[in-house]
Amino acid sequence: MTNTFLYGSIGAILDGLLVGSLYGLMGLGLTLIYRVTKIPNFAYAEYITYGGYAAAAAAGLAAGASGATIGALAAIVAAALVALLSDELGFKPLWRKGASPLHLLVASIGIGLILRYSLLGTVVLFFSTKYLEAATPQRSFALLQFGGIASLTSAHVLAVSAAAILAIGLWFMFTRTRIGKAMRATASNPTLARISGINIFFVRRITWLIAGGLAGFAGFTYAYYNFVNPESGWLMLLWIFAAATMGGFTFLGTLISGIILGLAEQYISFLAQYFVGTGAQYSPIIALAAMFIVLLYKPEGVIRMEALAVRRA
Amino acid sequence: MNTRMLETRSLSGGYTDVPIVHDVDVHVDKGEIVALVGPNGAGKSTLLKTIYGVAKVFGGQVIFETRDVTKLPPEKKTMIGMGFVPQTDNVFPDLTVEENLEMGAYLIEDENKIRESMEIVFNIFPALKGLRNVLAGSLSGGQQRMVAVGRALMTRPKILLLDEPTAGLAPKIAIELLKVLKKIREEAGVSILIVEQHARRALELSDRGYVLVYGKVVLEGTGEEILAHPDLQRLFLGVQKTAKTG
Repeated sequence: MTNTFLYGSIGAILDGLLVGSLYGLMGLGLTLIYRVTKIPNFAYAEYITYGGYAAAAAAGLAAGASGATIGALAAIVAAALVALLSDELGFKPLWRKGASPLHLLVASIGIGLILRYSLLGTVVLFFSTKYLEAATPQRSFALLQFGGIASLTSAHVLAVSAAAILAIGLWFMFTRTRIGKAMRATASNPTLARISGINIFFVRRITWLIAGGLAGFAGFTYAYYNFVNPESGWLMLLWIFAAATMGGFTFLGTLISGIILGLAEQYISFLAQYFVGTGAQYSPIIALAAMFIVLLYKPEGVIRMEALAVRRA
Repeated sequence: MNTRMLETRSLSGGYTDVPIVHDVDVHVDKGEIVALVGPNGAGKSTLLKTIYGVAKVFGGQVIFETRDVTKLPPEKKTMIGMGFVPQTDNVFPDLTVEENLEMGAYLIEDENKIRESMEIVFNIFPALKGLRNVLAGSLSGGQQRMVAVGRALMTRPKILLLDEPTAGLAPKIAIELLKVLKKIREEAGVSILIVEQHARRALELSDRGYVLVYGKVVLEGTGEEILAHPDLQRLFLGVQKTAKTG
C-alpha cells in the first residue's frame, strides 16, 4: 500500500517532468512568435502535430537505430516549413494590411483548423485509419526502474535536457546575438528597424523557421514516447498557452512554468486516481485554472525571468 | 565651392492618393545645417518622410550626393550614408540604450567601428553613458530623444534628417538639444536637415532655412533673412488660422 503510493508518486513526478518539459519546449516556439510578431498563434498546435507525423513517417522509412535521428530532423524541417508557409500565405499578408493581434488570433484559429483537418483528411484518404495513431518505430526505453511501477526513460532525459538547452539557447540568442536583437528591434518598432537597415522580412522568416522547428522537435519527442493523432497538438495547446502566459512570454519563464504545470497535472491526477478513483480526464482544468488566475492577478506573468519589455498603454 | 549633399527636384509626396508636398526643391550642402519651418500641417514631416522613402513619392527626384535615390527603400538609404530620426516612435522602447545604438549600427560589421561610433555618441550625449543598460522606453522624453539621435548617428551618416527633435520637450531641454546640433556637426561630421516647430530657435542656429506652407516652399534664405522677412508673420499666422479650422 505505502510502496504503491511511493512508487506511484515517483512515477507521477517523473511523468510530470516529461510532459512539463514538453509543454515548456512547445511553449518556446509559441513565445518566440508572440514576442516577435505579436501573434497569439493557435495554429502553433498543428505544427507540433505535423512534426509528430513527419517524425513517424521518416523514422518508419529509415528504420534502424539512426531512424530516430532522421525522424527528429524530418520533424524539424517539416514543421518549420509549415510554420513559414502559414506566415507567408496567412499572417504576413494580413499584417501588412494592418491587422491587429485580435484579427491575427482569429486568423490563427482558422489556419489551425485548415492544417488540422487537411492532415486528418489526408491520413484517412490515402493511408488507412490505422495511421490515425502514429509513432516512431524506435521507442523510448527505460533507463531506471522504480518498484516495477515507475521508470525513468530515454524520453525523460531527451525532453528535459532538450527543453533546458533550447530555452537557454533562445534566451542567449535574444539577448546576446545580432539576429536576436534584430528580432526584438523588429518587434519593438518595425518602422525604425527598417530605417536602421534591418531587413524585417528576413528577420520574420527566420523567426517562423526557428519557432516551427521547435514545434517539430517537440512533435518528434511526443511521437517517440507516445502516439500522435491529428488532434494531439490541439489537445495540448491549452497547456502550452498556460505555460507561456505564466512565464510572461519569456523563454526561461515558459519552460519553468511548463514544468510546474506538468508536475501539477500528473501528480494531482495521480492523487485523484489513488484516493478518489477518478480518471485523468479532468486534468485540463488545472491548466485552465492556472491561466485564469495568472491573467486575473498577474497578467504580465508569474515567472518572468527577463525584464526585457516595457509595458505601454 | 560647395558640394551638394542632398537635393530634391520638384519632389511631390504623401501617404495615400493625395500629395501633401508639391514640387519641392530644397538642398543641403556639405557641412550645412538647414531648417525646414512652417505652420502646423504644412507638410514638413511629410517632406522628410518622402525624402527617406517612408512616405510615398508621387513625382520628382531625391538626389543624395550625385546619386538618384528616389526609389531606394529606407534601409538602403541608411546603407549608403543617410540617417533619419522620425518625430515619433524613434527609439526601440523594449531595448536598452546600448542595444538601441547597436541596432543603429546594424549594417556595420566591424566591432571596432561600432565601439568608435558609440564613443562619439557618448561624447555628444554624455548623459547616455550612465544609462546604457536601461530600457529606452523607461527614459524621460529628453533622454529618449538623445537615444533617437544617437541611434541615427551610429552609421556615421553624411546627412541626418531630423523630424522635430524637440517636439513635446520642456523649453529648457528643447533649447539644450538644439544647441547640441552644432556639436553633432563637428563631432560626427554630418550635414543636417531639421524640421522644427519653433521657427525662431531653429533658424537662429541654422545656416539656411526654408519656409513650407501648404506643402510648398514659399520662402528661402539664410536664417537671418527669413527671420527679417516682412511677410513671415503673415505667412505663419494667416495659415495657422485656416489650419486650425481645417
